[in-house]
Amino acid sequence: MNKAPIFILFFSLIGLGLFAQKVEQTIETDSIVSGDNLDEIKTVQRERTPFQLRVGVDLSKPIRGLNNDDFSGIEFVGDLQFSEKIFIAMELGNESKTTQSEQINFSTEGNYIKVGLDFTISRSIEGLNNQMFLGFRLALSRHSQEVNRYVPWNLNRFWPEQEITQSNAIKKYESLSANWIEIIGGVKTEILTNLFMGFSLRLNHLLSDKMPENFDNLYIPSFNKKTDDNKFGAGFNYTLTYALPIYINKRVKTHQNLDRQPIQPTDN
Amino acid sequence: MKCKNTWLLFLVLGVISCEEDDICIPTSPTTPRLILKTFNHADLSNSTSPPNFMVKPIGIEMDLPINNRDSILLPLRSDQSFTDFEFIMNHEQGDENIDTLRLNYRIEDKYLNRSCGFISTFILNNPPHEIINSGQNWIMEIKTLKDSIIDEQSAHLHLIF
Repeated sequence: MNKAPIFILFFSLIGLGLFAQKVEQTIETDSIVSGDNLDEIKTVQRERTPFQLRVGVDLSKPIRGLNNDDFSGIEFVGDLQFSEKIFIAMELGNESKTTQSEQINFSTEGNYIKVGLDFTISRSIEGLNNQMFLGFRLALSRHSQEVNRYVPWNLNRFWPEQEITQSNAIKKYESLSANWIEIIGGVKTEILTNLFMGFSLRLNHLLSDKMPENFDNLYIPSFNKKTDDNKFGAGFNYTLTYALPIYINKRVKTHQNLDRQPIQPTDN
Repeated sequence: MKCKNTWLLFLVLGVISCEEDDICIPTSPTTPRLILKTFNHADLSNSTSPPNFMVKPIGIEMDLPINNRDSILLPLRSDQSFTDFEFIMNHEQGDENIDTLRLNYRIEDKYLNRSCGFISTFILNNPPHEIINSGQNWIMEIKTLKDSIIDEQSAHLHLIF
């Protein structure tokens, strides 16, 4: 199995995480500086505002599972605000699906992880915490395919169609994988304090997959249907997330000269 | 302006996700039939049909199409590892001679693609046949030319009478 994508994924994840810690947002209030007049009062405040980390679940999967005996899945989502318009996002999930594809009935089961960035493209409106965004993900899945039964293709059919339930092809193929990129567009709206509801549409492009011998990855968890002609797929999710503010290094520095003595200028 | 671009993106995403229906084209490989050529023992270099030759598969009320050529196409069952046939000489001539043979084989199903799915291929046992009902034994010998039945390119069995 090609392990390079996994390493790239994890190193970029760690790298982004480390880098994100160093970014700070500063609020500077009131700097009146005059070069010669040292009687001025100079106040500098430095605050590090909290990062916004949102975690939650994809609601579309459990809903789909309720209506459909052949499907079950869960997905956890999260995003971390990196700067005013950039979010680091991640999805983690598991899916189990049985599909009837033409004459073959098969079951897919596996996990997936997706990491990427979201870019806010809407102008923020005062008082409302809404967001329209575009983003991308790098995704990886580990899954199995199991052929349950099928009718063999016969152009010159003579004997009545018989569904085969035992043969060399009726088996479970484990340790399969796939990786792909997603381009997404979506919205996130704050519906209650710190509670967000989001919806996104996704266009998937398959990069590579490890196929079973004598079968194919006809369905890949979270990539959805893999077609023969092209390597594109589509999907969506519908999320409910809660924002956990994370406070990092909150520090307030105030310099105030009350007795009108000369002040050393501080670094800006 | 920015909002308009977003809706356009969603529309494009929706359209791109549509896909064509897959069709298994008739020229794709398919489950092959066994090709049997018949030879008179007096002339083993040219294949000839026995007089009023007919083959009836057992298990279905349908006759195999027989043309006047020297080879017949026998469809094998994918759901079990043998198929029984009645080989009939002098069919409807009064002195009908029927040899009933069972052809034994191993099945290997091969995946083609999404639209066609699996096809069956067969590997004949050695010997490929057993006599179920010998009748008057008009068949002298069954020779295996190719024990792997994966296509209909050339004969797999020779029947000598």
